[in-house]
Amino acid sequence: MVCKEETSKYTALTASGKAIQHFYANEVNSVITYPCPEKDWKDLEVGDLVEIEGLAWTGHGTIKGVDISFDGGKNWTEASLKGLVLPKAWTRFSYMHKYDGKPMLLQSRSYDDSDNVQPTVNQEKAVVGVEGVYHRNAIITWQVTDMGEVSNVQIRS
Amino acid sequence: MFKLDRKFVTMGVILALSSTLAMASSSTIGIYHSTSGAIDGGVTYPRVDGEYTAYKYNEQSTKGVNFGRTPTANEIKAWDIDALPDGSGLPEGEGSVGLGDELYEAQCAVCHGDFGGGGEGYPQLAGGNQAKDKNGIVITLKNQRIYGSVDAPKRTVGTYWPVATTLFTYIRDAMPYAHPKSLSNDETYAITAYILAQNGLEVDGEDMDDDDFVLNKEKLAKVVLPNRDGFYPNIDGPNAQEDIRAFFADRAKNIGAGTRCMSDCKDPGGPEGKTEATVMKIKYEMSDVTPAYAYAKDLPPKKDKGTEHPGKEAYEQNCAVCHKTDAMGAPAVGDKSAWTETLKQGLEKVYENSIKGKGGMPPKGGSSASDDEIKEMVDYMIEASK
Repeated sequence: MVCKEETSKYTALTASGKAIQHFYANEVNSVITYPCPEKDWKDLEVGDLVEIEGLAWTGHGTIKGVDISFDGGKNWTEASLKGLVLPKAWTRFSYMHKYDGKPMLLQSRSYDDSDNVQPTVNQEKAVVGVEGVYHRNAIITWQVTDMGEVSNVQIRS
Repeated sequence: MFKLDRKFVTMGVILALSSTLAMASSSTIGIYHSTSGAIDGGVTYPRVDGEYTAYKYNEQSTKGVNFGRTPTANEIKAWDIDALPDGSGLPEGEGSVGLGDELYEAQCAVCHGDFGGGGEGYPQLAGGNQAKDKNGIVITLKNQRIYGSVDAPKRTVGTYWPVATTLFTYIRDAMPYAHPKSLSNDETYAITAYILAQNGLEVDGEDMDDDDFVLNKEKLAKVVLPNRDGFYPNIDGPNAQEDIRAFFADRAKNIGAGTRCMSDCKDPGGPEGKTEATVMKIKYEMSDVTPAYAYAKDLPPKKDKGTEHPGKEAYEQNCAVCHKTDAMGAPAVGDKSAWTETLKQGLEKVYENSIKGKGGMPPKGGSSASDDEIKEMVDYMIEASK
């Protein structure tokens, strides 16, 4: 409770009006890097086999696995980890997908050897609110249109 | 070998005993523990020396690597400049609110605004409503910009910061932004006094908002900021480590955690516990990018095959290297007499030879094409040699 960043930025101000302090861990997280808004699927034809790729990481230990959802989090399937898997390090994941041209809500959800599972936006916001500057590890959603455009959306209830 | 094993067993017993004793003698189990994990909720991994750490331990020999030396007492003294909430570590010196006002106007206001009111992209230092509810919580800090609310919580020194000594150390070490560490201790006390005064604070019942008020080490340590108790988990006292460990262990309750549901999942949470998910666009999503987003299908250009023979492209890739000329002894494409001769054995036999191989030609010419594709290539070669 001595340095300025600890008081005004790294603390997570919750809806109760009180803030979580000394909150240092980089929580379990992941993002799909292909496709993404900058690298979309406008060049795919129905039937093309495409590799969905991404990165997962956790400050609580080592990434154990990553699940992928095509329908905004209702159903999930396991992706495979690629390359080196080390504690507190970028971990690649991959999933071979046959492109069917239909719109989808693409998500990745990582989990680690410290029993953390990446929360949904709702699960995260219910506990830490939205006013913390850091600690944003909720599941990221790419909306893929039937044209293959990709944009960032949130699934909320 | 036997002796070595015995030695390890004995050492293990001694280590286990000593760690039990260590645990019994102190009330804490340390930052990294073999079974309780790290204090921040993470797991730990064994090191070669029986200790645990949050990282995989590098077991490579470090012999011959120069890791520097132990710092001297004076070097540590030069680095050890932090000040604790109780004021220990603060240097001697003093400065008045009046001097702080002048310094602030000259060096700080350009970013932080007049009277600490905040500037474009730079933190507001004073202002905000310090009023508390009956539980001692600063009311405006409960604002969350969610579900349509646009009122932000104001995080100024007066409404949010827990400890005043932070202000002194941060200004001294990091401000002004363009030339940090340029202020003397006296000047830093003066600016600290001015900012505290702008927040309407007092020391021992004495109002600071007076140009003649002089701040020093003793007075700064006595300033109690309104949001002193607005933070958790507890980090003070003998149970601090256990409190922090317990807090970060219960992640679903305290910092948000997911569940690994695989099918038919319902998303919990949200305002009235609604479960029907909606898709919301990101309000501030960046769209002004280079190259600009395109909103049309962007397929690779298709080759216009037109009336071209379906076997031609495959022939170019698989057969042409030998069949383009008769240099390899194969019937050359375009050589009418050679192909007439070849076809005397019957089309089916030509197909068979092309699939099974003949003479110097390996089966299918060494390609991985299907039988039908091979036949298509043969058809093309015959067609092109008429």
